[in-house]
Amino acid sequence: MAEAQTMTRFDARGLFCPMPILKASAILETLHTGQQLEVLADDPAAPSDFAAYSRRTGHPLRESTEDAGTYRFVLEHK
Amino acid sequence: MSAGMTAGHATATVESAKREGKKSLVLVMSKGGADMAYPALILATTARALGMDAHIYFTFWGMQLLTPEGRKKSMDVFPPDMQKAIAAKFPSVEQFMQQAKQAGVHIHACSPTMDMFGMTKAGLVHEVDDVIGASTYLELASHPDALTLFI
Repeated sequence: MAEAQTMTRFDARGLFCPMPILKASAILETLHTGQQLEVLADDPAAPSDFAAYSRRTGHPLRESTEDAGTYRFVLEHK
Repeated sequence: MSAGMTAGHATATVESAKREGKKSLVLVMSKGGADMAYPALILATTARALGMDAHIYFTFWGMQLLTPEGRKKSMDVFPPDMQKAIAAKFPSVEQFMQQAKQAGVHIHACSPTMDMFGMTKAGLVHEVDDVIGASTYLELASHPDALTLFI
């Protein structure tokens, strides 16, 4: 049954690899199963890095979009 | 020196990685400049974020990064204006090594280098987990899921 989900937000714009992943990972680890983390980033490496992070850790990447140079990701704690 | 600095530290981490079936990243850090230290620290801390074990084996000039003075001087490979630009965006090598340590990256010092350069355990930064030799490095690198790089 779906519960109201908490959406934590992390603005990583202006940060470059590895900081968006390291900081997002640290925040995600404080969340619980099903809770989501929204990340905004403008590092061009972010789309492939967040996808790889999701595959390696098993935390699902629910959304990965781009709008005018800003990437938006939604990670969910597994 | 940290309390965790025992002869069995590296071996114990190999055994626990084997039990857990974890992938691991094992870097040999043979250079003492910040231009080499940053990529190694970036890879190792990211490996930890991805749930991998991470080890850095500092050897030869890399051992300079494990002394307080050498770690500061490692930025001298960059011209002053570039040092400023990096400092505005990135933690210092010292701060980055502390963050890596907090993230669980294992910091190994090289025994033959200490002998060659007349270094002592007491003169090393406190992030060092242990002093190991070639055999222990080879055991770390022989883990079936280990990815090893010589920097």
